[in-house]
Amino acid sequence: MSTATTHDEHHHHPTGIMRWITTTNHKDIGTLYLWFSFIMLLIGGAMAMVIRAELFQPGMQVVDPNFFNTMTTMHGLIMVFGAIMPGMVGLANWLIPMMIGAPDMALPRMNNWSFWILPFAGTMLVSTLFMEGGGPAFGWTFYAPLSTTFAPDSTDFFIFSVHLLGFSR
Amino acid sequence: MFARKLRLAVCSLWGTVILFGTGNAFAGFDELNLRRGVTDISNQVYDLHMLIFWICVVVCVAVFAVLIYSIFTHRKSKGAKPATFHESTTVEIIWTTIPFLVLVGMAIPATKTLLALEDTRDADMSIKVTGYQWKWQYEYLDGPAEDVSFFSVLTTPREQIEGTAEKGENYLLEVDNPIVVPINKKIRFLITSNDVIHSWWVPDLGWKQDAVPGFINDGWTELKEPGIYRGKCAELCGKDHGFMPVVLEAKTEEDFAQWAADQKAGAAAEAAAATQTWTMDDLMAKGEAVYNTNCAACHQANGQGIPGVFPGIAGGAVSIGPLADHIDIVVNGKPGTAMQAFGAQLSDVDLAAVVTFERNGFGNNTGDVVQPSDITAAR
Amino acid sequence: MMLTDRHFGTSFFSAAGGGDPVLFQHVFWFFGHPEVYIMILPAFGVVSQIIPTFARKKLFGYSSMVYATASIAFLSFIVWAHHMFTTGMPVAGELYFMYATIMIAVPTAVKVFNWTATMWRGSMTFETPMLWAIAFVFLFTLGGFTGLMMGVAPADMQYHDTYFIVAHFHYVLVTGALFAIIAAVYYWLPKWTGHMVDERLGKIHFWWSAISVNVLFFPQHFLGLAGMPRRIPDYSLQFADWNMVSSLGGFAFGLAQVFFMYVVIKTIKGGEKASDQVWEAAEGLEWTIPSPAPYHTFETAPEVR
Repeated sequence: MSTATTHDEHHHHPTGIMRWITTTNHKDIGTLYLWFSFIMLLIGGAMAMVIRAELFQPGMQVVDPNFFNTMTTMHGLIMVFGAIMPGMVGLANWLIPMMIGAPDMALPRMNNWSFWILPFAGTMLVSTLFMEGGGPAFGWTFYAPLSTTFAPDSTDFFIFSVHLLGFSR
Repeated sequence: MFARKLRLAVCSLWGTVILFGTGNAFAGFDELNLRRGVTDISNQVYDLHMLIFWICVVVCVAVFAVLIYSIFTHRKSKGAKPATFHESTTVEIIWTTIPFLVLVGMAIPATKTLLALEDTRDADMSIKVTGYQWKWQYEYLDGPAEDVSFFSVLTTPREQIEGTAEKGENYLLEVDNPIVVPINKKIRFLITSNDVIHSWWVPDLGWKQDAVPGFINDGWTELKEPGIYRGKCAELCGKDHGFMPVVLEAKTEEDFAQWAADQKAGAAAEAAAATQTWTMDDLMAKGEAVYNTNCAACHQANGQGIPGVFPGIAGGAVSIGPLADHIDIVVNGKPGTAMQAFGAQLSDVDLAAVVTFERNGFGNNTGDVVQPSDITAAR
Repeated sequence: MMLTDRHFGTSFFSAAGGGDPVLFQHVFWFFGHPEVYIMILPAFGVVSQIIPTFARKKLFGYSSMVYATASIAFLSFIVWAHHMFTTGMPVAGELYFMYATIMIAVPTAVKVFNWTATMWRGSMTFETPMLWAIAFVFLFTLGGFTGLMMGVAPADMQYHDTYFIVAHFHYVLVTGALFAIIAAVYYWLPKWTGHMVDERLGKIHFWWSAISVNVLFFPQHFLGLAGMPRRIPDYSLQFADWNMVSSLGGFAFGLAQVFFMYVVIKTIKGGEKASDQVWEAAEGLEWTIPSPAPYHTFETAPEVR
């Protein structure tokens, strides 16, 4: 998807990794969102595989019950907040400006900022797995300890509502 | 030519699906569909379920038939020219109104069932159900078994769960003390919890009710036939959520009265045992049994615990530390952790036995012998 | 929507930090239910773009589609407690949430009817994005029907927290939201990369996923009705057969998505050159710009006819 750069002779912007970190271009950000979403889909999918492997036969074979609950919880959280939401946001980022004939999203820097919160949030979420006592094991609907990892999601909605605002304009 | 073959194939596929579906619906009913259950309410719920199910099937078949017909007929490769219509207010009003009317038709029986389901007035008997991690407590509030109270814990052996032994018929659906109720009585269940949210569910009764700490929910049932009905906890409540079944035994009124009398006699015998002095061997044997039912879920059968979550008993700071602290933590629990106050759950004899077992088993060999009277004194 | 999120951001945490578990559930689902609709509404949009393109016919009832979307969004804010029928709500509350919930079926049905009418007497071709969009309509409808069944409170007393629920929300989120995202990726990928997707690989991915996803989630309806609670690591013996079927479907579906990554990367690397229009009957400003889309588009405002 980086082929987009070839069409951009008369603009100066950083290249390499800095291009992706500092970008305010809705297409770059959309690409980032989509790849992030896909990586999370695979991580969440791997967890689903663990769940189905355990449920393949009655009895406990693969993991212990505590880890199983962690898997169901993380699978839910990652799929909802890590895969589907950024996937939708990525599509919106790419397409809505093109569909309505706008040069870019409203508040482009905000747009960049809100993406880069995501990988950190995702890493934080996944890293809880390796902490002492295991990751969250209480279903994706439960309890406060999640609040730290939840926080970025609300920013996610924030950007989504910015999209809607941009759309209505 | 190809398209015709394809259409034939799809038609026969659909035929098979429908045959297979209805065939199953009448043959293997138990495994694929909701249970009819054994009470009036569960039958009402079942009928309602089937009503909505068939409405959905009819609508589904109609919509899908149109879709599939259109997919196979209106394709470009068959020279279909696109029509230009893209709006019709009449049609849209019709297909907004029809679903609405169908829904109203569904809502009427649903409301009736719901009102009946929630009507817990005029009960003949009340039983309090309390959820613990991971067991149920039943307390009889009135009737012949008034004041009877006990815990109900999974009895499926570890070997079956770990796959080293053949799984029994009621694998994960068997408990030591099932809740016993008389038939032909309206029984009201008061459901609450001691720690996290559980959910008390016996599918054959037709409902489940969440057990929420600090709240009391209610539900009722009236059974017609004696029998054993099995269910499970249905709200994620931690590690052993999958291992806390509900077993309900319905008895005739005479059998129930007999059972109640036996329970009361058993309680009296236990109270007498608490005043006796026990030998080390007896305490160790009893303690091991108590440990396996009540403690092994967290602290593990080998006493090692789970690092970072549940402390180990073998060589643990509490179990080889001062005796008074050990008794205190078992009797009063540790607030803010999963360690419950077992003083409210177990008899003095059981507590004395389990503390003795923990201090002398798993290579702890402290030599301490705890008598039931020590526990009585520590309470 | 922003106001709700703020609401979510504030009371969510205090309720969790405080003590009342039922209040926590109310607040969570007050956020959580609109959340699941946020995931599905863009999917409706995507499908409403793709189907008209490949049916070569305008979307049927555009304005009623918009009204349906708006009413779903509105209803989604007032039905949160249908996740909580078993928490011991007052009967009046249960009745209200039951009525409000099954009301959602009306606008959703309108949408499905409209897509059907869009395809009716069109001139359809079945490129990969169209296949995914059609699968969306079929399977999302199934998920919608089970949702309707659960909306009926007394029946939900049985369904609640069983695998029936698991089957329902996977039908809505996987074959709904995820299928729509995949359809969108196939639909717009030529515009993004300048290369056409290899149709053969795309179709393999589609059939592989569409079959395995049903093997994966359809048996879960049976499991739930037969009484298997969700989130349990181990189950009693009568559930063994269908769990095995479901697991096999799961592994197949997982592999299919790894295959998807291969298809996407192959398209980025190269492939048949895509025209600006890409799809024969695609409509919208994005198809007026070159493929791949230049880094900056519409520096002068385009003319909208």
